[in-house]
Amino acid sequence: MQALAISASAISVSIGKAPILHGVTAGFRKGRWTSIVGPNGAGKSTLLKVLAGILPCTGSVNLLGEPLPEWSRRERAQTLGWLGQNEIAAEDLGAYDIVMLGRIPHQSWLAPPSAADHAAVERALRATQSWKYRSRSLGTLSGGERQRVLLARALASEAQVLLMDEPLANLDPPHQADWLAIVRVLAAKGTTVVSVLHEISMALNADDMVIMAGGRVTYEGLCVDAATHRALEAVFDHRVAVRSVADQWIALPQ
Amino acid sequence: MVMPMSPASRRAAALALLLLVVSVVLIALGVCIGSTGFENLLNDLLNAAKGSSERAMAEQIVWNIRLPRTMGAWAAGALLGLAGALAQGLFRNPLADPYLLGSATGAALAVALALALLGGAAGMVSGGSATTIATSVLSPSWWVRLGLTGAAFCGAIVGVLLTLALARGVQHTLRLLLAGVVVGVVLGAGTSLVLVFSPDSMQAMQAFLLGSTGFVGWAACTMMLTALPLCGAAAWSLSRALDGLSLGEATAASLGLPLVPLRAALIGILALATGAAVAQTGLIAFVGLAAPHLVRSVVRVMHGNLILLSSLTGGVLLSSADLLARWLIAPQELPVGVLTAVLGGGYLLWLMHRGGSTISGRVV
Repeated sequence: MQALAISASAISVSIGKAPILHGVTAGFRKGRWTSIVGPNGAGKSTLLKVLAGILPCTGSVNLLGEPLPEWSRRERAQTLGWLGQNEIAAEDLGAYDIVMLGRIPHQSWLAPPSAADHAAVERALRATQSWKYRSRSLGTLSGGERQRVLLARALASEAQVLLMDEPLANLDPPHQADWLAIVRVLAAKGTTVVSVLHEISMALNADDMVIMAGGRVTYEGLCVDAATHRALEAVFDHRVAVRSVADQWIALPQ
Repeated sequence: MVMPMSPASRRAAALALLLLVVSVVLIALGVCIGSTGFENLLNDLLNAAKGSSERAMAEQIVWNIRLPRTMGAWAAGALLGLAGALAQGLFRNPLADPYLLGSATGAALAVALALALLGGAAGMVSGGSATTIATSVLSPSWWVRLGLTGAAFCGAIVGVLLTLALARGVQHTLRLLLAGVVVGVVLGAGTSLVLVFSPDSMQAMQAFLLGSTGFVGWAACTMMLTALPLCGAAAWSLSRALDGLSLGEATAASLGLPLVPLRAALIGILALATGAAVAQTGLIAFVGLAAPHLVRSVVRVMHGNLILLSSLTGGVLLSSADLLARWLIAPQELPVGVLTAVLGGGYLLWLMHRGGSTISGRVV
């Protein structure tokens, strides 16, 4: 069993009076890609925000063995990357500039971007195949291109742990496949990736899976395990069936 | 190393240079244009062949009246442009503007209150001639100007905080705008009420409420020219954080930006810039709203450059408006605030008409 990169313990969150998470405990292993899946309203995005330390909660989150509040803001931002759902950005900013914002945790207060910053931005833009429109403004890009720029923004921080909420939104199948390739390269290099995904078939490509329903974690296991597939079918009221097609697990609607 | 943004940076630098040149030209024109139209007083001043009485007269007019007024108009515009760029970045809202956020009306109410409490009744314009007494809104005294600036600063902070409390945050454009309107109306009514109870200062305050550069002397001008670099440097030092904020609060927090102290600092700078301008020139609408939009329509910039260019644009806008206000119905003079309200209102309508995209596109 590999060490945990990030873990949540007894997390409860209420927004207003509505409880969203009920004592959630979950661990995410180092250097692996874990997808969090579950029906709408399961609390997946909320859990991801808690892991990122951007939503107050009761319970505790540990990052690389240290409680999250004990990390300095800057070190935490260098170690823990985040890509939000439907992330916004100023429409008139250039793609390159937006990706450079991902380097903020590495930059000192008034210093201009260093050569290392520029190199990281170029790597991120090339990895997401968005280098060619680096000088275009976000407002002129298509939904998919825009999503790739925002992914590059998250990659540019070169964090050890990367949390992504619905990163495949607006991506067409070829670019979803590209995203898959990027995540596999990241995991191979030792980056821990945690993603919330609605596309169950894409989620089944991950190493590990956390299944949530009604603000609780109902199952944690390997994506290739039959028990995981059964749990997945159960959480969706057997309206999906997990099948193997051409050596790949896919979820078929029932 | 590839620096792909250099063309945009070059355009920004070219725009900055252009705005600086235009500013110098406008200030020179401002010195030469008075109630009798264009008269080249600079020539009188610099020409050794002129008689000493002509030169003394020119010096009097230029040095005591037109130069502080012209430079003051530029500085007030620059402060408002800076405040607008900050407000739009801080609230991630293209309609944010010191005027629409309640900070300008808060500052005006605070100035009216300060005058009423400190014996503003004594400070008035008697019979149209500007015989200013100790605590008038038109007073050239340094201490009075400093006190009024301080009051305006506090009023501006209260105005913004009231608007934010009413709007329950900054995310909802329409709510923010409505809250700003409500706060503006209520604080404006408060100002009127204060004036009703101190009728002696009414006339002077009226010019002030309409927005006027006509009574900016050296004390007021220096106050603004001191506040401008302070606010500019502070805002510029936070510009990267403002860039980060443009990605939304969750992402900005994940980038390690300390959101609470950051917002407090930005609101403080916003209030100082607005207060410093409003305390000297009264309520001048739309300069803060228009300046950042104008900059963005010409060049793509991050907040560091936007703050600088919006300041310069604000200065150019208000200097031009000040010239027009003096020129249009000379020898009479229009309150410059009326002019900016008409021109700025038109610009805002055009902006809204040109497509919801510009107005709503940058909204969360």
